Amino acid sequence: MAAAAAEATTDGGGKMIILISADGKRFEVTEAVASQSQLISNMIEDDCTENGVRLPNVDGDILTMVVDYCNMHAGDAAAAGDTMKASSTEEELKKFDAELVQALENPVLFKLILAANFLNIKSLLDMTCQRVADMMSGKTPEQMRETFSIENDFTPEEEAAIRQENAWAFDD
Amino acid sequence: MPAKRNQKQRRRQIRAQNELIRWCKRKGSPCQHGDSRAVKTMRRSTPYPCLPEDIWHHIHSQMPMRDAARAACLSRTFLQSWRSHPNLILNKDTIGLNASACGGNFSRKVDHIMRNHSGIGVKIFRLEYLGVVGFDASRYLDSWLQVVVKPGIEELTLVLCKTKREYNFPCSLLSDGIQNSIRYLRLDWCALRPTAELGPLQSLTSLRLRSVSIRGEELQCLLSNSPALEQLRISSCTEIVCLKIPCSLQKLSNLTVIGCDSLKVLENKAPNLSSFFVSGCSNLRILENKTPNLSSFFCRGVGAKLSLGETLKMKKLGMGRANAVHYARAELPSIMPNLETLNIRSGPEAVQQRSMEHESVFAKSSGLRQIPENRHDSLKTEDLWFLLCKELG
Repeated sequence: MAAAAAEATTDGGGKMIILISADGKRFEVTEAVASQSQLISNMIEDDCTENGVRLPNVDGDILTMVVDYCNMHAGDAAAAGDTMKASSTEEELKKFDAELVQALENPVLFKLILAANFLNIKSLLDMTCQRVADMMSGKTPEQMRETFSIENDFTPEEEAAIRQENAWAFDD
Repeated sequence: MPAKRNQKQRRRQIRAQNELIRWCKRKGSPCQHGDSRAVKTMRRSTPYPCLPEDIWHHIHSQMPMRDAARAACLSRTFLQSWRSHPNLILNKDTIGLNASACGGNFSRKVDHIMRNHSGIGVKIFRLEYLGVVGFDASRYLDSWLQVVVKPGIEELTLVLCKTKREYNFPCSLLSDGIQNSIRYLRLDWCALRPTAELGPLQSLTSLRLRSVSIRGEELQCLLSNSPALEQLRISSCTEIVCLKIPCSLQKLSNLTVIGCDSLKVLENKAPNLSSFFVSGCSNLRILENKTPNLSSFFCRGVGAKLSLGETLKMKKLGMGRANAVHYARAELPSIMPNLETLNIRSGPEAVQQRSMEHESVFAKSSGLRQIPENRHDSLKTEDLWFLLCKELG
């Protein structure tokens, strides 16, 4: 057991890499944590993270959230390297995820979606998109447009026709 | 040397930065960027960043059916996305019909949706006539399936109803290019007649048939073409007389057979079957397992001669049959030494053990010895079998 734990520390917690946000903030994370981003995982594989990874389209405040998310979801390997953080249970993760997205203003949520997409972190992308889908559900088209600032590019006639086509979805 | 090395590192670094965005696309970022394809926001001055069309499409696909249909009215992007909605989950709740919905009304609404769908990009087609009164979809079904069953489809579920004229599922659909994508197939209340022309369904991991008219040899044909199958559930398929699960199903782990009244012979040769559940097959005469990896077995209402083969890995056993107690007492200690949970029901004697019920187990099971009081103070269900084995052994 002890040998296995020591090995996990070496593998998971040993090597650190630096992520640099668009506004120059630096985040030091383990490879195991950063590898949840498929983009960074590919860079680690190609051995080109030694002088830090610049992320020119992710702001520091958004990257803070992404790093928090990745730390939380890094699993046992990463937790072994950080004695303060025991491996999180599924319930704790769900609670963390819910709190992460619920507190966000919509434009910030959109920025987080873009970051998850750019960094290619599928679970974060799915979760943030699901949040938007949930917020759109139960609303009229007008309310959806209002909530997410979506431009209506139909002519009134076109819109009437589409509403007619989908009239079944407007019945009570 | 160090200078040279640093230079090399810098070059790598620059290359990496230049490659960032290309990487994102080449290595399959879930949604690709591109301003021209972004959904426009109402005011340029709003702090909302533009989400690319692909991301909106992803969001839209995660919305329930009625909400997704309403969102089609938002903009051209959403309309286009609705026309290729990947998850078509059609039942009275998702369509929004009331409790006493009639089948005709349901079918007309579904038909309306299907006529406006492009047929592109469907991953899930789940049609469920549950809680709908009356059924007349047979005339629509062929055309709906033509629209959605295309390469890329992963789940196909048709829960139909009992009708005078049974719907004959067009097996040709299963050989038309979906062999590599379909993972889940569930059919209720229809006829399925696969023939030798059926191609291999390389990705099919789960197959569920309920009240389906299919003969043993036809099912055999389907199974021999499903090498990736992990779960198989057959219920109330009354044409099947003999079902032999072939050893070619290397990944099959779960097998459930329920209420197949004509079934006489049930045999498993799938080597990695771990969970085997048989219930209510009243005419079953032979039930045979020929592989060594069973860890969970349950049978009820089955009078068949049992032959479970090697059962050293058995952990959970449930039996409801005449003389089950006798069988448990006489046979199990030697053939299932690793059993952890035993649930038996035998005639008028209910012998069941869950939590701390074992006093009653032993009291009611004449012939089984009582365990001395001090021996089972801290018994858990898992421990019970060991004690039973010890007492009997």
